Amino acid sequence: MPGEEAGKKADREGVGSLVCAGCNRPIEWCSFCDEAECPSAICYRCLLTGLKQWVAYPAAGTG
Amino acid sequence: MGFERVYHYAAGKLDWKAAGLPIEGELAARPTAGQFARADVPTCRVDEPMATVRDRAKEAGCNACVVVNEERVVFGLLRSKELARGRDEPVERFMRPGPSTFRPHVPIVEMAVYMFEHNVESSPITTSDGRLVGLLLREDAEREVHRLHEEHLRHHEAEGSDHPDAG
Repeated sequence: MPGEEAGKKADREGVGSLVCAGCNRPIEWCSFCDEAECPSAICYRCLLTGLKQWVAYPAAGTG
Repeated sequence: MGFERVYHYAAGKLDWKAAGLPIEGELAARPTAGQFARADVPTCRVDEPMATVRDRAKEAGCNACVVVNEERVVFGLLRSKELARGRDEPVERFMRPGPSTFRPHVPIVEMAVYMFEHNVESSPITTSDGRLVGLLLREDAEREVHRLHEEHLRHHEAEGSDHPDAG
């Protein structure tokens, strides 16, 4: 599910020795290739922006 | 305006695109990952033996297999490295669990660049709710980028030849 996936990805961030090539935030592993030793590691947030993959979800009560 | 049946899609336009549904307008002409993802990629369940799955992938001429449930929601991925392992052991022992997945509307050019930079041979393309659309192979993505590049060059050459100052 999208929400769960986002949460899982978020949990990966901020705890490892890798640094995101886009924003310099520490990450545990690369969100594109899922590798912990990626020379071009990127965080989930920067990846979504880079791939133009943002998906907006409706707020409760709309629609 | 002449429309007889009009719907309000509550999840929004991007969710519609992320489901790989048809769109119109300028962006519709841009090639996307969903257009090049191979829908006939071999799939398997988490409890199948590795040898069976390996044979299935080989028969399909593919060096990857996507692990899905009965609703085709992606659970894992076996790329060539994982496919080479095990025999009677279940797939779940060797699969890459919860692989990164990408939506069908992602531009093919961006996907090709990321796959090259990260040396990734294949990426699962799924809808927003995780259902498999197909597997995007790096060779397919790069082939399309080369085609687009050639097309771009031809377009510029044609423009140049029409220019009065062109030599």
